[in-house]
Amino acid sequence: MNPELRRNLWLEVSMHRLIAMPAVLGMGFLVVASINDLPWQQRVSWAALTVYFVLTLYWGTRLAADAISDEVRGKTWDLQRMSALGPWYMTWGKLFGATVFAWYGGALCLAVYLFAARDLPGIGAPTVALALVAAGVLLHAFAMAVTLQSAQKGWATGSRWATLLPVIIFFAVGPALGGVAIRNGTLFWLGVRVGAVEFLLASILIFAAWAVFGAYRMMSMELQVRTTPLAWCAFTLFLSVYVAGFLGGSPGTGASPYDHLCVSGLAVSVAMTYVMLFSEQYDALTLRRMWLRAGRGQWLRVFEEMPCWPGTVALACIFAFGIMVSPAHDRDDFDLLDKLALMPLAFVFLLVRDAAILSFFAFAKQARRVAGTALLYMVLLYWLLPGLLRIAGLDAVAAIILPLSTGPGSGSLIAGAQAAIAIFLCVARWRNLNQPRVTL
Amino acid sequence: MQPDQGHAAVEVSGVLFEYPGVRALDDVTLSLARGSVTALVGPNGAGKTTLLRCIAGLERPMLGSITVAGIDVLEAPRESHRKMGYLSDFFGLYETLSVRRNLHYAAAGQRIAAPAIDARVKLTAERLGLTDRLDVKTAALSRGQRQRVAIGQALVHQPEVLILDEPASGLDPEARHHLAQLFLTLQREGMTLIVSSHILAELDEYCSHMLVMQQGRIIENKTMSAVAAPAARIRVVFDQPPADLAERLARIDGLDVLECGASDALVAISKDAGAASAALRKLMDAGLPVASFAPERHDLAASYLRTVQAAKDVPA
Repeated sequence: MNPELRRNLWLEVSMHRLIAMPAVLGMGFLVVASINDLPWQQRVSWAALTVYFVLTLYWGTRLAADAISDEVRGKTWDLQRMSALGPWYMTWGKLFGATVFAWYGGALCLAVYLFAARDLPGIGAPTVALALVAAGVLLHAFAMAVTLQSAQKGWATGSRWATLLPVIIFFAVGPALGGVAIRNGTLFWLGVRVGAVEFLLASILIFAAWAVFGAYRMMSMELQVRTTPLAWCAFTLFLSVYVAGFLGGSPGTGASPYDHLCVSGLAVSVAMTYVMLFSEQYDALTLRRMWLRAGRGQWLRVFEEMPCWPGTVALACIFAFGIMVSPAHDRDDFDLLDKLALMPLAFVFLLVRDAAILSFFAFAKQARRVAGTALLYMVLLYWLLPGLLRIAGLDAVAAIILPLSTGPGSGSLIAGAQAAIAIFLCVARWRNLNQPRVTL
Repeated sequence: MQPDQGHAAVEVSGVLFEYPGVRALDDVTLSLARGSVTALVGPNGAGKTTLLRCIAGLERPMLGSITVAGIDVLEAPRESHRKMGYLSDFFGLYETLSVRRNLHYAAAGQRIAAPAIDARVKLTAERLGLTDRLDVKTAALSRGQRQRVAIGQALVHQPEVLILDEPASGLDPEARHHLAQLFLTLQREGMTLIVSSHILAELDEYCSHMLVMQQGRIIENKTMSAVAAPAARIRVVFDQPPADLAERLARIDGLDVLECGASDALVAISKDAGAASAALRKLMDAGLPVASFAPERHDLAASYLRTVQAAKDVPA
């Protein structure tokens, strides 16, 4: 048996807990079944799903996040990192070990749900159960990946965010997609009509697989197993295709699938770059490591030391170029995310500018609260300054600060100039960094 | 444990490690012989813990290479962990698990075959005097007992190299003595140990080599004890010595006199079996009144202070 799984079983499972969980759940479901308004099947199935949401989707996510943060707090993380267990063993041992009791309760709830909802109309109970199991794996793996990322950043609040972030995203997106699936029955994706329920189920399963892979990659990094940013780029490409599938609507409307992919790819690459810029471990030492490796011609090592965000910046550039050479570019019927499609270069330049701003603060001698400071300046540049200037009637100056309201050519030019200035400042700070002191 | 004889136990070459604005390791190069017990000493912030964590594969240096028992730690950290054990300065234990389960988990984590784990756990507990505590939860143990469990986790898989960062901190004198005896036993079995500690007197008991670090650099790497030296150093003390003691000692055939005082002398004697008793017999046959004949104890603290002072005296 996986030693990490067994250790978690020792910690999480006891005879008392094994008996208490079904006893409490059983009594609860009996009480719900005995209330006389709706048919008992409906009441019990809803109660079972509700308890599953609380037990497995929320509490399980919390346990998955704590699987890492508890080790760091308890100073046992080094012991685990010193073991000979590979990252895959460690990942699945924690993923299913730390959450085993939440899964135990969840399995009981799903069993009750499958029994109570077997004859109810609507989406088949087995499909719902399968989707919920996949959702559990998705949330738990997502939480674990976020906690590992937080641990690398040294964020003390990692566990709390790792619990809340996946749950908030899931409960924000899940009901909307589920509602669409139930209402419409079918949807168009990549121009093909597909069953909405089947599509939703497949989506959850695929995203769950990506989340587990993400947790595995983060674990690899934490265990000092060499990785490259390729996996992050691959996920960005997948997400680009996934989102592009929704942009076309039914066949024969709007731009071509190529255009949809380019626009979606640019939007997703930009978003994923910001995600990594603000969450990834990145400071002057990151660049210095790459610099030293490059100086010795160790290019594979340079690639391994590279943060993920330059990879998605490169993808954004490729997709922007794809938009610019598309026949649909500048055409009136290109109504998808208009500004993004019409000013791809401006968006890429602004992205590069923002990355340079964050790097500028990250390369400070005493770099502290880098993400927060960079975010403050971005709020200033995107919102506060242009807004105040417009209120003052200085629209032309506002357009220089935020060049998205000007024409594509001038907008790109101004954004390019901003990026150049930011890069210049960033390089100047990098050069001015003193040689490290030869002492601690 | 079957050490691979083809390599040094630990080889570190050109290792550079920086924290923001701080160079913690500056071109560190060293080689530790198999079966040696090396004291890693230096002032606070010298880079000792960083070096140990790099050797253990817990931190990745910016440049350089590290090999433990012939395995490249930076290329294959998980494989290298099967060859080494590491005790952190700030270790943790699973408080709600018993000593047996803590050790079992550590052994299983090092991929010890399942049927062999129980025997390894028992052996480790015996070595550390924890047999009667095997089924006690670690939360109920004393500081010293917890320290022993943590050491047990580091050596339950019988590694070739054992890395210990402040292993005796918080231990009482008796526990420290037992720890020293354990380290000597492990060394005799062929294990290589590298120990960082501020308690130099404790290191004196079992270290064969000393590495002195200062400002991220190794400033001294020397052999310390009779264990590693090619010849034993024996201090001979005489009762009412003759005035011509030095001349009489020099006349003794086959006796290598290193230094001679008014009433004592330091002699080097081969480590061959019987060499010490033969030397003693020669002294007695020469009519010298030998009062004491004992291996010279190195004063690691004095040696360390001399090294650090010498490093300070060298202009930058």
